[in-house]
Amino acid sequence: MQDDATLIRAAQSGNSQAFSELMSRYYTTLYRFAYRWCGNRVEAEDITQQACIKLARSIGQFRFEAAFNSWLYRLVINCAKDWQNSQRRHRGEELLPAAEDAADGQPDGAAGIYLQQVLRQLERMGEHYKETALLVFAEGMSHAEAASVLQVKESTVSWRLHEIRKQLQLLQRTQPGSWEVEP
Amino acid sequence: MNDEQLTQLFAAQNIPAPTDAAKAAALTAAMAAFAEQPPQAAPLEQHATKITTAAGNKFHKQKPRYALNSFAARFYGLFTVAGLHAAVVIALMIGLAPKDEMVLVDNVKVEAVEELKEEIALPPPPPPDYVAPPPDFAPPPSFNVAADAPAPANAITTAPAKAEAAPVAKVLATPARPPKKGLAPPTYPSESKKLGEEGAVALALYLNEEGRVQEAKVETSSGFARLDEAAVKQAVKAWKFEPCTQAGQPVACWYKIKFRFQLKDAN
Repeated sequence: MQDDATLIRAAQSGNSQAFSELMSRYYTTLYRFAYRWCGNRVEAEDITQQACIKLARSIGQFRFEAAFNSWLYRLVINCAKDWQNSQRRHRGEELLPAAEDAADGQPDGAAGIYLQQVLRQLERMGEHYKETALLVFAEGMSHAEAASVLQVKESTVSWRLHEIRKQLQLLQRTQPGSWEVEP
Repeated sequence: MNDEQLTQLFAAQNIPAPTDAAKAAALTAAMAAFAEQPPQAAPLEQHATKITTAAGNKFHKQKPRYALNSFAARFYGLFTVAGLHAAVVIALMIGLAPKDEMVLVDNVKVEAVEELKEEIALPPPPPPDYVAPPPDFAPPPSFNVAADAPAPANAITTAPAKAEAAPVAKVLATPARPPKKGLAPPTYPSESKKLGEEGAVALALYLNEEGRVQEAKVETSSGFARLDEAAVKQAVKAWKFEPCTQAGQPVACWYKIKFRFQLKDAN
């Protein structure tokens, strides 16, 4: 079994078999992150397909300066953001995981509801917070690894996580539905 | 919620496996995109290494091609530079001074003004019975009737009410939104805590263009004046929203919000 670097070099030289092998190896990683991002199987498959196409077009630009894994995560995050923007343009509203998929993919009961609330809160917090939380808490990356994926300083990741914790504590404290914006 | 709990929450998420059809479609699309790409002559990493090595070894040893490494070359260089300087000086002295150009420009200006004066004098004066066209905007007929006809006493009160209602009915492109960092909840009045007072206060807030609360009215009381007062005080003192916008410009507007005082939330 060839290592990633050999496969990448072969793919960069135009070897389609090597590229196919790379794709098979990383498809699930890309899909898993996409699913965590959008909470919907069909959408996640679409995002992953876009990421695969982007990978095919840009593999020649990989310069071995960072880990291939990090580069792939950056690719799928960009595709997920593009998808999110296009959805916002079409729907013109805040994106939330579809209800039918929430029952399939999220943990049961209160944990499932709470996970949805957490994701919603992360989206409300603005750009970069959701991807930071997903990389660290869902994908289990260290702050340094997440910083490498997001191309920011490690201290920036730490600060974002600090903000996320603060917001989630506020969410937990006011969870019994204190705020209701009237229509 | 700490990091461990968050990690557990995400770990408990049950991610369904991708369908084989979707995976096959993605691979096919990617392979098609890959086939369209021209193959790289050499991997970029190797190329970069070659450049670095070449730069490291030869930069200080090789002289650039354009180096003036002979006396003749230096002489010709100096001669060329001196010649160019001389050519510029001569050109300035002979024919390229801006003085003459300025004279020409003045002449043109004068002629143009004179021609313009003649043109202005040509058209005949407007006829004396010229009537100006009516303005584009015509007031609605109902408004004219109200102004001309003597109205009953109660009509006077109706007309300003309609005029005031118009801006309220104005459609706002984007409604106000609470800030991303959330709204700080009001402090639970200690007296209310002792007495076990709970309830929901519905507030109508008038937000200015900056999103600050200029006025707060209690729309529905919680049933306890202390709680209502605490909510109003907090709204005016501490809250700032993302303002309503109309055609991209922030505008003042009303915003309704309800706060529920519950003793389990009390500090």
